[in-house]
Amino acid sequence: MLIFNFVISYVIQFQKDWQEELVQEIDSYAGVEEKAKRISDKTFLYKKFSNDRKLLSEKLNYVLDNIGPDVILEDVQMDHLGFALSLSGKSALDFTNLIVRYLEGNMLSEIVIVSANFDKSENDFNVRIDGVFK
Amino acid sequence: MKEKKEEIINFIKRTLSNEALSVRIYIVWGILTLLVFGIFGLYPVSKIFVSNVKLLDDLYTNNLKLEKKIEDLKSAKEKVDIVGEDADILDNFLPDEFLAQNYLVDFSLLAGEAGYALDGVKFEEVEGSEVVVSLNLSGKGDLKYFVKSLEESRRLNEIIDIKYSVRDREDSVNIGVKSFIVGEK
Repeated sequence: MLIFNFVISYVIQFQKDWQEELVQEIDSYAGVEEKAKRISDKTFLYKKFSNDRKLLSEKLNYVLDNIGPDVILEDVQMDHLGFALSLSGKSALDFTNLIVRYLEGNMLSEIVIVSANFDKSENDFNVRIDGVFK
Repeated sequence: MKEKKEEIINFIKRTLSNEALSVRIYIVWGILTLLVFGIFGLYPVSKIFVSNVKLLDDLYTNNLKLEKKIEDLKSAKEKVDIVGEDADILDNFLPDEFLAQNYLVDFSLLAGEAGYALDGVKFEEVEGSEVVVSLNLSGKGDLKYFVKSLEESRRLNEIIDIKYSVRDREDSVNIGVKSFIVGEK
């Protein structure tokens, strides 16, 4: 038993020396882990923000591109939920066509003509339309 | 008294001269010695041996973990060396803190590219990782291009709302933009 104890003490000493060498080697990498973690965290955050953010350009393109040349855009207010347009045009049919185009696009859940006035002096219609995105 | 003493000594001599009996005495003596010294000697040595084995096992396990850690650190160092100064670019796209002048330059450049003049910028308070900025623009620019440029900018932006009025000479645009920073965790 004494011989066993002697042998195992020798092996323990060997392990301790090995551990000291490993700790010294780890010390030589000081700062690497912190820098790697900082880059990794920032990359993760960047991807998260990039994926989580809501884009409006597609909706803006949809709203503006559908207006066409027959009606004149005067005012737009929009956010991620919906939009409000103020338009003018010579014919009521142009507004009907505009609404049909909006509905055909399958991006709106609701479209409402809020007001429609006919300006006799200018001979054109002033129409306000609200739309709600799906 | 003397006779009694001689009688006891003679009895012991007679007993030990009997080989069969003395062998039994020696065997019992040997077994007793083995048991007594075995318990008082072997037990503590065995205990030390067991605790040494446990210590050795812990040391070996820890050393293996340290070796793995070194491998991970080596790999991390290689990757960090590859990334090198690109990390600074990432810092630029997702800054740790909000620096208004950087955003002002960005927005001004993007507005100019889209054909607008940046008339006014209002920075709201930083909330966590978000900064809300209000942009006032004027000119006959390309609104769709401007909004697309803002959203495709490497510095992350999210358009909150847009107010766009078409005028004869120059249009008026007001855009709410949410920009992202690392901010407080």
